[in-house]
Amino acid sequence: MVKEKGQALIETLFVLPLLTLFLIAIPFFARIFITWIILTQTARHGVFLIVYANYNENQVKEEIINYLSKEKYMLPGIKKENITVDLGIRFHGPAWVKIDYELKVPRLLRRIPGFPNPFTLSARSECYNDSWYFGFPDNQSQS
Amino acid sequence: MNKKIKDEKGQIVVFVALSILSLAMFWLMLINIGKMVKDRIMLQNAADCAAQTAACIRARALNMIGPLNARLGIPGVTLGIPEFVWWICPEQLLGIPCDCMAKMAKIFVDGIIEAQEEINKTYGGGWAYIQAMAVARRQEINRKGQVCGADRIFPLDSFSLKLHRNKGDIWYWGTIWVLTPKGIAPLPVPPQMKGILVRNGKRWYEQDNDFHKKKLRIVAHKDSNSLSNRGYPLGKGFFGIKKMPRISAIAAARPYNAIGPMFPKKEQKFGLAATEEFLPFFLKQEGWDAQLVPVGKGYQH
Repeated sequence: MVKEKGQALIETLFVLPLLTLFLIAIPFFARIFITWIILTQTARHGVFLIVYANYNENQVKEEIINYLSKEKYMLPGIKKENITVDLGIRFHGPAWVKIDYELKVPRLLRRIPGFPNPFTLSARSECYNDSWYFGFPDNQSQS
Repeated sequence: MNKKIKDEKGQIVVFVALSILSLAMFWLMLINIGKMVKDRIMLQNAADCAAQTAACIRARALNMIGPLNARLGIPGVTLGIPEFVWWICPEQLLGIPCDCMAKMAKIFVDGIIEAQEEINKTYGGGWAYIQAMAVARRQEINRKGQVCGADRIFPLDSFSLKLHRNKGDIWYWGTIWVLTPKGIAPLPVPPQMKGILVRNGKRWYEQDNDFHKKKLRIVAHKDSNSLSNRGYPLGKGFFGIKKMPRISAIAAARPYNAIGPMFPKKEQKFGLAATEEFLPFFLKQEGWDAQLVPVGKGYQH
């Protein structure tokens, strides 16, 4: 009995970091996928704003920032530099929107060697754009 | 008491090991399901954008063919009245019938028809498929720049523009200059005398019935061995799942306009109908656009 004294404590000390890691990793990975889905949907909305509403590059970026930072999803820190927009009017090709978002990694996960920090998520959507037929958007030219 | 404690030896190790195992399984499953849900949403976008693209291309083709069709329906100059196409010969040779401008008129009409058919062939088939496929595939691009969106698309409807050619006789009249009290004047000469008579020739485009209601349904697929599925599912041994399931998504789109069909109905006698149908579009400076529509009965988004 004397020899086994404190065994549980030592075992707990060994497994506690692993357990904590899991408890932190699970919500973090859930967050990754939720954010990824939000970004995918946002990229699609961005493209449809170009295709249906003939928005120009600035308008699309502003709408995306409004959507991500002011609506209920709340992905703060998104900037215009993180959004790439191609209206697809120059060569009458497809319009596309790409959004890159940097997700902050929890401290414990940052200590894992090789774990990307910040964790960059990227989403993209593309669709053929015919809205130029009804006139080019403001501040855009065909040149 | 001592006996009781000895019986509980190693209890925490087992408990913790089981907890970690279940947490690990939960974590792996979360990643697998998260990946699948994300792919399914991406694939729905791919199907939507592919259908929209195909409808956009059909709309663009109709917007290009429509004005050409209107040019075929001008009376006298083109096929507004197909039995009377008369381009006046500028060479004022008294009493000598001439068909030089009849030939020119035929070249002009044939040129418009040829242009329409080239647009129809290109946009109403391969081009729409290629573009829709490219859009669906490029819905996702990984960090290495590899396309890993949908693996392929399968159209459930034809990409055809649903237009067909009106056929019938075309009379290109010749010209003869005659002397009148007020000077010389041109007179038309029927093609049987001088000019060109085309039997069962190609004339203007007409719409298939309800052609504007025709949807383009497209199914996008992502296979188990798709590029982005490599390495998945995580923890194959744990769950007994060897590969990620194949997923599909369906979408439909169609061209639309709020003005009218732009093309005349079947079996028109006069090409004038082609010009009449296009006139509202010309006055309002509008045309066909495309939009997503519900797929309809029998399918779930």
